[in-house]
Amino acid sequence: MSNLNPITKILCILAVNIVITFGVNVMMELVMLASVSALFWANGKWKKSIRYILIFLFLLFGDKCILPLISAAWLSTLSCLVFIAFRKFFFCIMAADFFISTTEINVMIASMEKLKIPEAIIIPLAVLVRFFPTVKEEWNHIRAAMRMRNIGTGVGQILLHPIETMEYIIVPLLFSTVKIGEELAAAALARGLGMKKRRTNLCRVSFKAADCFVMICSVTVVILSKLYGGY
Amino acid sequence: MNSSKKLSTKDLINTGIFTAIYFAVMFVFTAVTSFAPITYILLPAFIAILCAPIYMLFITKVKTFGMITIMGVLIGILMVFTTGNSWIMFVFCSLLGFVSDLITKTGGYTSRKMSMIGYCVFAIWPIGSFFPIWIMRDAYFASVVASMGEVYAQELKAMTPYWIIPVMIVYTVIAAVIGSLISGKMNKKHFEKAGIA
Repeated sequence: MSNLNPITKILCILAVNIVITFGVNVMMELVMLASVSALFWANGKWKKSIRYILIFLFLLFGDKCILPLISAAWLSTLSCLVFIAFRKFFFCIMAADFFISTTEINVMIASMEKLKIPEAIIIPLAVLVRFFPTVKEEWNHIRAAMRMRNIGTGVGQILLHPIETMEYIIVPLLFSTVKIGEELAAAALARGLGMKKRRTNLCRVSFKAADCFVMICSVTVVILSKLYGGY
Repeated sequence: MNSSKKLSTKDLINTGIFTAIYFAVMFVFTAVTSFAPITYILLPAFIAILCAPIYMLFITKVKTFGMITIMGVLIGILMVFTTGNSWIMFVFCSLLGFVSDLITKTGGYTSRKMSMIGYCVFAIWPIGSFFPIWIMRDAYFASVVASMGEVYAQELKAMTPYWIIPVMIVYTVIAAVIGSLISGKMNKKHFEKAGIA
């Protein structure tokens, strides 16, 4: 069960999305919390699921117990946003986190190729995911260089001199990343990324019983929420 | 400019790289500033200014139709799968990318004015994440009624009017114009001199 097909996971995210747009009551929210947590458990992500359950319980507690006690208008508007509006998006974030924390990029590419998604989407997406750590690294270098010259990068500096700070950060970031990007492009072309022939992939993506099970479950949740989830 | 040729692999890689920088800068900034509702509402405008230099440098690399569209599609995919926006966001981003691509194309991807107008359209995308609040308005207010009562819900409804989205679009577009003016200066000052623009 540890390696669900990425397509199944994407369907899970879609299912959560659909359920949310229907509008859900507390019962249905608990069902969804249980099902997404079960997915986390099946992949051994105990800590993450417990953290999400705690956040959810806090939000529910705030909605039912703290909100009725607040009388100031502006404060209750704010807490309504936090406790109720955020709770609606909570499941989308949880499902997206499940997808990201359990999917390797090469598995994702393999399954996208199987789905016949055009190269024009797959190549930039692969580059992009590969490039995030590089951006982070460069960003740390720039901050270190700025600190050495006594240029702050804190919130205060950003508020005081927004345009200068932006220039100091973004210009070197663009310089270095554009250069790295050119090298990356050369390396990728040397490995045959631009070839007309179909590339092979080591990953085997298949559709197993677990995928069927999860898909049936998510469809059931969607139908249940349509029937009983509303107000 | 040979703007009718097909997308090369290098174009695709460039698109991926610039989208990564764009998204990373946007994401860090959002995480740092969205602590209060007022900054959250103003966020699209901040992003429009902050990410303008990245977008404008990207435009100097664009010579083929499709790259800006793909950037929009990728941002849409990322917004749905990493930050848990609804599918509406994906459609909205892709559409804006496509329209902005068309606009920039009429300037042959070299006209500064057309790139600027294109950016104004493109920069609207963060507003897409506010749409569900308005689309799921009934569901949201149903749960407000459930825990706070009818009267309170009516008051809250009056405080979050429908017209806020057009207002957001207006100030985001203004911010995008400011952002592209700043980035035009930055391009002259740094990138053209170094030969990477």
